[in-house]
Amino acid sequence: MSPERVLTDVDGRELSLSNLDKVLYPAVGFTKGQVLDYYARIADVMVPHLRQRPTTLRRYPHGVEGMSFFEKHAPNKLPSWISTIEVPSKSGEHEPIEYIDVKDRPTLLWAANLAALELHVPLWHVAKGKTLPTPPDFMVFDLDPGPGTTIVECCRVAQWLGEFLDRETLYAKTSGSKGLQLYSSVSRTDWERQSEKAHEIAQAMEREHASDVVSTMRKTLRNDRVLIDWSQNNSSKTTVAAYSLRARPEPTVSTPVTWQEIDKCAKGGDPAPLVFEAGEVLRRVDKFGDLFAPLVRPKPRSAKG
Amino acid sequence: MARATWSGFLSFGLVSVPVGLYTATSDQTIHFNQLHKGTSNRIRYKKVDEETGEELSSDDIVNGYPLGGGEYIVVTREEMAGAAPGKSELIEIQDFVDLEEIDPIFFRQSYYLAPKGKGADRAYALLLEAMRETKKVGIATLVLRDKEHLVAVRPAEKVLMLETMYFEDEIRNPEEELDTLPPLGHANERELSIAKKLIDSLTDEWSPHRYKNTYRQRVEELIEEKRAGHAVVHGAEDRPKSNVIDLMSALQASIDRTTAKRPTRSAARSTATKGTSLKVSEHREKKGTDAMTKADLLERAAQLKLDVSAKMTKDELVRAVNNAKAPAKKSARRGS
Repeated sequence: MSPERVLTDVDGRELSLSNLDKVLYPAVGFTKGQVLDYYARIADVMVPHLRQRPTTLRRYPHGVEGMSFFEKHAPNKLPSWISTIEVPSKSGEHEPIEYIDVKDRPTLLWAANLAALELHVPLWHVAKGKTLPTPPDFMVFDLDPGPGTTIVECCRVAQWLGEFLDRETLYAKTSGSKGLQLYSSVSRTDWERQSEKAHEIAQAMEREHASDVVSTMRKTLRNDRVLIDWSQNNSSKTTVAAYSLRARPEPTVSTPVTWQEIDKCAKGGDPAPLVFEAGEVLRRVDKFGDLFAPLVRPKPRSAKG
Repeated sequence: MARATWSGFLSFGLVSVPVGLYTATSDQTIHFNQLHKGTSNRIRYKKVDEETGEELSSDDIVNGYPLGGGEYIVVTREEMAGAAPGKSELIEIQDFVDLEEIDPIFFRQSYYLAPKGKGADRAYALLLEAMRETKKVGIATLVLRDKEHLVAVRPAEKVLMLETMYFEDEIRNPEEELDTLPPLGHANERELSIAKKLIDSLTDEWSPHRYKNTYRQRVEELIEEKRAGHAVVHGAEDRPKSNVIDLMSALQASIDRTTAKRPTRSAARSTATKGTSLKVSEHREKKGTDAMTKADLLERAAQLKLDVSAKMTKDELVRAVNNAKAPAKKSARRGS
């Protein structure tokens, strides 16, 4: 007896949830209700990483084994309490795109109810009176293991990057898929400079560790190597958000991890300890809090309330 | 204030004034959503291949210029973009003409032209007053949304208006369109003068407020009546408020239903949070057996190493499984 729709109250907002019993991860029987449950519980630590960032939703209406689509444009029929961010097209030739601003828990659950399992955000945020895109908030290195490698090799590359750039400034999360992503806060830079700098760092790593690292997308070079994808440092690129679920067979999560865990994984040689599913991530947050908290910008002071 | 549709400069001769363009009219037609009869489900249009029925995304679709006989010349979006006029930031008045000279058939859509930014006001006011006193209209071209438009800039009481216009070749010739045109110049003088007198007697001042859209009023009344009579098909967004339930209870109810059917490792792990794991799993177990099918119950009984047979009724199986629940719970806890 699963009701098709339930009208719920989420922090004072009315949200109509549909098909809660539908299985979205067939291999393990993880349902849409469980997806919503995860997002409802993770919202407190996740939303600060989404707020004021034009969010792209990757929707899986028929579950992870069905077709998916990226949704940038906010649907026409939005609840009145959802905020959007209008981003002009780069060339100015197309209509601007209205993105969702996942500014609170009700908005996050609204997205999850659309079977938006994955949420992707850019490296910049919207600021009043600033032209978009604004300058980058972070530099990111997306470590993508090529054929024959796993997150274990990514951890080794992360260690080298940590030595090169200073561990104190780098924060790591799993991609929730196969790789690892390193973030560092930046200020007073522009996209061109940042992209160049990230490229140079990736090339330096490649020179130093030629048999383990590549900095170009060329498929043939990637066997047994980790790609340091520096090209993500571009205002039009998005990266999966911290704490987003991924559309893998299991409900894995892009999970912030400690340097200790990276060292252990690099040494131990087993990728399993760095695979986290929804339930484990909630327990980690209870234990560690938000490991990515240093990357959250202070909440903007609004003039009234 | 509304958002400007376009902003740029209005220029004539040596004067150039920064302006914004704002739609001057609004369509008040009542819009309906199409629904599947008997439900509140919206209708969606799909783009499909006429031959194969395959649903297509916009990436799969190109423009073909029909040559007849099933032949087409395919023009890609990139090629179209190449031919499009560049974005213009200028309404450059080329000529001034008398408004009476322009037949209303040329007018498409009216916009307000508003002065923008400091210092624009004075030049704008000067242009408006000069145009009003000379009773002239400025003719210019403007690129709006990738299309080139012929426009007329005309003075209204308080602002300058911009009317987008048809090009001459877009206007149809009545002699080509109509089968019969009346014979002119043969009217009887007396009849003509009576007709003119009748017109004079009916002549009044133009007062638009006297004319109402009576069809729209009737449709509005119809909708209001039906709403009052509760003949409303409820969509998801507007159910009565009494049905609103707390989010976490709704989710818990769903998780209870589904995990009872599917006692998987991952499901148990993911809901077991914040020290509530035991409570949740007990709750699930109790509700679970009732919701299970006979096959599920048999499988469960086999897991519990119970002595059951497929000949037992569902009720008997439920009882057997529930009686053996205590040890099952212990192993479930260890597994989570």
